[in-house]
Amino acid sequence: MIARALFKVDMKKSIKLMFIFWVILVMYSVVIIWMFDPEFSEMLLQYQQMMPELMSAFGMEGETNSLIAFMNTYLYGFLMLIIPMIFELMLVNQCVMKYVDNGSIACILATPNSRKKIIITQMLAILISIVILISATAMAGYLSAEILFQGELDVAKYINLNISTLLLHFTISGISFFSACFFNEEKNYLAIGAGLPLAFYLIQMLSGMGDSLDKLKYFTIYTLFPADYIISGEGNVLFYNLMMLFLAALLYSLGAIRFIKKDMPI
Amino acid sequence: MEQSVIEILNLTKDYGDGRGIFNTNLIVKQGEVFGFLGPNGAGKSTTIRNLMGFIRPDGGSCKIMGMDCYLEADKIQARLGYLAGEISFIDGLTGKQMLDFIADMKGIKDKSKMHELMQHFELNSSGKIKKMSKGMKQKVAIICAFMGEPDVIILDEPTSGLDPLMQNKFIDLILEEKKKGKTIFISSHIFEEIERTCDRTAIIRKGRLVAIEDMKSLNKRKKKSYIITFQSIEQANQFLREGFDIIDQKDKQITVAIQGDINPFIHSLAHYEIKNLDIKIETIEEIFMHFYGEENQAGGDQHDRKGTV
Repeated sequence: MIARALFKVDMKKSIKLMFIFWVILVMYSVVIIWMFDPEFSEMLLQYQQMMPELMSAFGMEGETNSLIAFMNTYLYGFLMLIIPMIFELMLVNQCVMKYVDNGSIACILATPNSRKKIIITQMLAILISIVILISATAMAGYLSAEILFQGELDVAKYINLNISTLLLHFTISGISFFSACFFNEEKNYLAIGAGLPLAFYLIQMLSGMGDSLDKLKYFTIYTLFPADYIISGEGNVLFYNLMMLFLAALLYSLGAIRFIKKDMPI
Repeated sequence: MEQSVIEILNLTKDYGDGRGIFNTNLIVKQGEVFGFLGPNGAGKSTTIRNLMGFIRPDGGSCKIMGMDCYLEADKIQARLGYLAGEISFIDGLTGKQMLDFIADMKGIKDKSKMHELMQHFELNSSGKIKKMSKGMKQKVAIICAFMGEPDVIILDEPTSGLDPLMQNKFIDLILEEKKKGKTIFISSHIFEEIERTCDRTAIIRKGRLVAIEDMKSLNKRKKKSYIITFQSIEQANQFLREGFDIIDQKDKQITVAIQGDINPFIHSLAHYEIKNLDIKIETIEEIFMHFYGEENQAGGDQHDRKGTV
């Protein structure tokens, strides 16, 4: 079903990259959890009152009185979106785009493995790497929360928040994956694969800044991320999760079909 | 009747601006070593890309061992060895790791052929591929192509970057594989390589086949020219009237082309005072060179060579 030798090469490269991003994410997580201390939270709240537009642009607005709400506001609103996004861009680049861009896909295709098998292998390597990164970060976050503020974290909500984060990253990486399969050159891949998720994020920032810009939220995939609903316990979280899953599946499938059908530039 | 291994039927792949290949027909038989010559941009690589299933034809079809080159690429690859024209390997691997990776991808368990080839080409594969010279990379790629003991081998400019010693070793390898009955398709610019290995050779120009030559009969048909230096210009002028195929005259020196029976020429020469006589045998390069030039649009028409399409 998959090309094992290729999967091994992919994962070997991915793990190095993953480790670097994991360290960065854990560092931020620990710092932010540590800031839940009443003194710091007071300060952050003051920032929210002093410059509400700026803070909300970075997703840092809303309820902060429980640890999970605090983490949602200061960690999952920006850092947990942007940092794994950069990881995914680099990952998709090295698993799909690079081989096509530099022509080494020729030596992979000159083996008795169908394009279908090869692209499924790459897809699997990408998705597994994302799962590992997000869950290892969540695990580290959970441990720091337990060490610093024992018993304060609402674990059920924390798990739900991370599941939705994972699905969101499936969608974001889906955009990159589709772009990597669609284009033959790295520069075009970066323009769409990085440009689109970032553009969506900018739209998200703008939509949070004022009433008149509120409608912009219909033009960004981040609206599908139901973090606030998870924290408040209201709203249909499952619906948003399924929407993200559907979008991710669509992007990955379209990308794979394109990869199988296209003329390789080699 | 020998079985045809590679069948290209009315293959068309149009890249616009006259680039690509158009209505190409070609059959390579079992056990044949088939050369593929043509100027840069003539469509050699496009043809090979189609054979490898990297691209899909706009029209026509190509098959290897009866299987469609795009649809059944993976099945074909199980029995095919390929050497790319522009070699690119996976980043960050050493030569050895790359060879092992390809062996794994091809499902090769017995790596004795791989080691044998590494010795044959004196390859030290411990270094990172990125740091290797062009020739070293070429060796790695050649080993990748041959290590699975394939039945069909497709080579795109296989000796580029190799030193003359290694080029010879490569030709030895081709001849050895040929003995084993492998079908080999070589695209090349190096006439000597083609001459020494190929049974037949196709010439492609501007995306169209202009000739297919049988190399054995071509060797027989090689023109010999004789460069005669006469004692005097009068004698030279007199010789011009003998009715031989005169190629060139420079004062007392005349170049004559003789095909077939040489005796009338010898007898005729006996009547002249001759200072010097040189024999020049046409090289395969000279025979094919006119397919490369811009001015000879019609390719082989001006000479009496017929393609055996």
